[in-house]
Amino acid sequence: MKSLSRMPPVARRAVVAACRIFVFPSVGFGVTVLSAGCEGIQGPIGERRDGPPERGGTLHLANYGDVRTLEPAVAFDAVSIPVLQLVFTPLVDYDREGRIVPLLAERLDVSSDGLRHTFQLREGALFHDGQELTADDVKRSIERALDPDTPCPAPSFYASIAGYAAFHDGVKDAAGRLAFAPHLVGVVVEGRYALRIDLSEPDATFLPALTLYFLAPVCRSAGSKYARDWSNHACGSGPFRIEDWSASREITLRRHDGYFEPGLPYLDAIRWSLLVPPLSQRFKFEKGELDHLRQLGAQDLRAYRSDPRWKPFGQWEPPKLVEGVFLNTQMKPFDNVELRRAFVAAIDWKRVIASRPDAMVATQMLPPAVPGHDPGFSGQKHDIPKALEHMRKAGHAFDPATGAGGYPETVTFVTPTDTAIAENFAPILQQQLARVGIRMRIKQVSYTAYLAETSKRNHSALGYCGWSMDFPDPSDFFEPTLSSDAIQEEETQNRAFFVNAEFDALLKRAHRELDPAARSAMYRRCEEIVRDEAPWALGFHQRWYEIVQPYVHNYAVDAKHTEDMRAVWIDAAARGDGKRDLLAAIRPWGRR
Amino acid sequence: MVAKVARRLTWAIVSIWAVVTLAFFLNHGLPADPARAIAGPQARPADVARIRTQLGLDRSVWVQYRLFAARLVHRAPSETGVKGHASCEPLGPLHLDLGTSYQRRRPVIRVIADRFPRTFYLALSALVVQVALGVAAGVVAAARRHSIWDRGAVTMALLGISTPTFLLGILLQYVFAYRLRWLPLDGYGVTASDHVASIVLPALTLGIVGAAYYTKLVRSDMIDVLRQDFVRTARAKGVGPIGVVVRHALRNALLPLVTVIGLDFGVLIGGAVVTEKLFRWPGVGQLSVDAVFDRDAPVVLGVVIVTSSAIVLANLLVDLSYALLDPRTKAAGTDG
Amino acid sequence: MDPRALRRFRSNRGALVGTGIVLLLVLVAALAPAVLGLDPMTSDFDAGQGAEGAPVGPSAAHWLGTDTVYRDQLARLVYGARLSLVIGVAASALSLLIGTAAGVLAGYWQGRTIGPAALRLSLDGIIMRFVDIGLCFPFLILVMAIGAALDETTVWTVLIVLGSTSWLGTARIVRSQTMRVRDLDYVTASRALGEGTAMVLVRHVLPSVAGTLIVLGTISVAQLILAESALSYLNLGLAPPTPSWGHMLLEGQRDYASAPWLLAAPGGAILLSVMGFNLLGEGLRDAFDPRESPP
Repeated sequence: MKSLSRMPPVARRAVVAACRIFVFPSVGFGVTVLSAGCEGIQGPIGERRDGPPERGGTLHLANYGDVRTLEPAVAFDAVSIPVLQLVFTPLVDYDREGRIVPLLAERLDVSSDGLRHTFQLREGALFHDGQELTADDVKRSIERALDPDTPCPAPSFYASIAGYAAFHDGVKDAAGRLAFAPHLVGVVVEGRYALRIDLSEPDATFLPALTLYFLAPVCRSAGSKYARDWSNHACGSGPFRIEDWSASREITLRRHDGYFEPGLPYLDAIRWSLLVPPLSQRFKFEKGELDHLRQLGAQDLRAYRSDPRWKPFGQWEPPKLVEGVFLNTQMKPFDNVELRRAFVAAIDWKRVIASRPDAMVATQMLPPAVPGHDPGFSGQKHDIPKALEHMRKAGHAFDPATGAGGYPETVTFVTPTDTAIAENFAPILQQQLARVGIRMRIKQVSYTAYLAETSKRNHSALGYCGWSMDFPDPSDFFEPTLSSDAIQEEETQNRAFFVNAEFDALLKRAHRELDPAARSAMYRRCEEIVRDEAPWALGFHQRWYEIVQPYVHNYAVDAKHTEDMRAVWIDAAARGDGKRDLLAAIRPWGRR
Repeated sequence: MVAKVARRLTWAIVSIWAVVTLAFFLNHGLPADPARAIAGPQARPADVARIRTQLGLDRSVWVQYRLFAARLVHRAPSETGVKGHASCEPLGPLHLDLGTSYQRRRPVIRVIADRFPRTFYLALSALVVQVALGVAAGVVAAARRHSIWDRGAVTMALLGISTPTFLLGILLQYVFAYRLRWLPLDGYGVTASDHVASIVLPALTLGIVGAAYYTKLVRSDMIDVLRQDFVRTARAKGVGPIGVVVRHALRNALLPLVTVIGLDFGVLIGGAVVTEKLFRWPGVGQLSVDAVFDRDAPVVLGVVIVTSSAIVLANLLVDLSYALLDPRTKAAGTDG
Repeated sequence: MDPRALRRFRSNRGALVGTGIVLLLVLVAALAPAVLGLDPMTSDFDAGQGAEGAPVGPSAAHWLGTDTVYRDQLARLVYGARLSLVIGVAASALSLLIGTAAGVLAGYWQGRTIGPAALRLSLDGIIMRFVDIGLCFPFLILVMAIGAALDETTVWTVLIVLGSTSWLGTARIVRSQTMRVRDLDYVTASRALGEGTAMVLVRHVLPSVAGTLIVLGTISVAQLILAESALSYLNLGLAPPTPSWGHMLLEGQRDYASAPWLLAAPGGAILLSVMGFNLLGEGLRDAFDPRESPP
């Protein structure tokens, strides 16, 4: 460690040379490494060969989110549902064409007045613990989910079952205390494998709601009352059983040999890694540690979509969400319908969502995955001159050249933080509205605060709103969001506080209408009302682009199911050992 | 001596109690509705109200505090299987209970205990990097005053205290994990070798930035020590420069260093929040960020309590060891 | 300022560099928007948008490229400088105010108790206990918790939250300084002469801690700029679309696959500004009290 000046000249020169040898290449290396530009994505592993399905293999999946619970009566989030789909079987399900067919049940008969649903269950269907599934189990599971002490988030979906009010809400007795019926009278066991559900009124949404997992049969270990930690040992009758759940790390599912569909499932096991961010997922996918990719960053999405090698293995999931901006019809300034129309016409949604290739412009409330969506429907249009015209009619004429006029106060747009809407879309909305004289301020809050604030009467004039499909039926989209029944002082989902007599009447009739054509016409009229009265500025649908490796077969996306792995099989030979050494490809000195 | 230890211990306990109380009331001020958070955005209002009652959120704040404090540390029940102890963690004859997480539906103590070892691992690794780098740089700088090493060390120290940790972290991640793919992008990994590979970048991030403080400290301490008579005597006697540094100077500079290490460890436990978020390190820091955004009050409260207690304990240990190592020194602090 | 201190300052190269950086920062923040005609808030869909919606890199129209919403990066950088400076300086001033008040009060009344002898309450004791407890809280988590509680983050709220949580260290230092000054002869003399407490504080104590305060203030500006950028990075700072360096780094990290240049500018800016204030602060400290640091 002698200081440089005291060294003999030879040594000094050596040191300097050493510096040159190391420093400059390091700088050069640094520059190369840090140089801008995306690097290419790796190609597919293996190949797709035609052939009959093979049994065996483990499928590796990942999710950015975390599974918080696997209790079917309680889980209601996008991360848990795909897992529940594999572990539990509801009585009925949707097929690939979008029709409701029996699943756990073998046969379903509905009376002509729509009040009586008779289910003939399969014989010999087994739970994961080996016990046979009977009609008693189905009734027990339904009552367990709808029990007033169970924190089920959506028991009201099933409010049309006879006896629901007495069972779930309770009845006040003479002393003023709430008394709860011990059983749901509408659910009747008629035999070992026969079950009957009676409704108190016709309900077109009942069967769609039955395809959800809330009422799915659960093992006898779950008992007839909800207990919080049963989720850790969740047990149902689905094609896979939970072999291991390492909290916040991964879930391992294994084939349930007693599954009632012969031959299914093909896979031995499915391993789901949790809390893996999109970029890490992509890296793992490229290495062959993941077999399916769904959550992609915007840039990765662009790269995969434009790469011809990946074209055969990617598909868009039909959009199931609709998102946009709600305008509170009971608060200034949006109590004025002309101002709402001006707002709607000022927005060019194509530009707003330009930075996100996974968003598509919405023309109507119903996303493409929901029956009733009409691709030819002409929705809200971007039209600046019309917008200015509406502003004039609203009494706030605006002159774009001088910037004079417009609505005098700044309106506050409420949005949850750390979302595409907050980061990518709201700033552009702000700019566009300024062009017609509406000055907007963006207020980012936490998600729960957003829910609380926008659901209180007279609290938020406008903000982000969206609705995600619970079950593919138009009533699921219109009723909670825009019917006046949904209005409450707090906690309402009708964030626009929209009240329209014709709209409400249509919804009520359509809820009980069993003729599909008539229902369609009613909902089409509802779309027109939403378009013209503009309680919402529609908006966009977010959708997912899903990619699988070539050796993964039978993965199909459809309207109702998300990440449906039930019938997937893996071509083990085509997969090879699956892994790939990427070091050779990414050594900087070997790179282009 | 015993009295002093007893006083310090008592003060530590009082501090923890004060921290707990302050944190509880602070936390209560979070204006959000956890019932809605649990029910989810699609749930109907009546169902949300029911969940709110189930969680006991409709009582007054003083009642909630009383219940909370009573549950926090209580005696274990004599028989097993008594209802209401689902979220307790036994600690000898006592039960600790920080409540149940709204979002995760697990006892808060379990949630934190699961993550604490990983934060500990990170803090320890970062400390090792910090001390190794910092001491080495400080010693070299002090031993070679006014040389290029000294100036280089001072400049690096300046850069270190001026760099935000997340900036360094992002750069390291971009270069080593994204471009070169030598190390994992983030997370903790599944196998043991994953764990080792995953700690490198976060520990380096925290370590390089923290080393700056150590460099300055060690350098100035060493300079002071090196100027003293006994060192000159040793040099005159012919002890080589390294011998002087290690055997005499370093040992004397050790005491303040140990103090700082002790306090720093407590701070690291609490303060690695940004690094944990950046690298998705599943520790207590990331938990706190998630919990704040989730409005998961019990978890936020639990994290504040646990990390503050860690700092109190670290302070306590440092005070005690200070008193032990050098009884002539008054314990630093506010005795006046 | 003491002429000797000034001389020491001028001969300290680091201090001069720091001053230069700080002045540059102030100039850029104050004048650049007007001079360069920058607009940090407008998305440029023509020159700012690349293929398939990706942002563009450094180009003629946008010297530092555009961010993911096609806004000019240079403009956001400069406006971010304004914000960082304002918040840093103001929060530092607030923190200094509270810390000085607490420290002076504690230090001046140290040792004196009020109330019955049995209670032995002392202002110093109360303040310092509070400081001790406050120092037990992990700073960032505390700021996060408070910040998240205030759902609406404006410059004011960020300022107040930062300023009111960072005064603890200052209080300790000011307290020990005050204690030192209090026991000096001339101060005791003026007290004996009947000068009121307030006068003593203002005339004697404050001026002698002034030097320390200036140094502390400058260094705390550096630390608060760092803290604010950490807050914005965690998405708890000022709400977008207001440009803030920490938030720009967050956005840059999300998209460094497509736009790595988004990291360089805000990162370098934070680094440079904080370094400038640190150098300035250390230079001031060396100038005021050379005994405190090695020569």
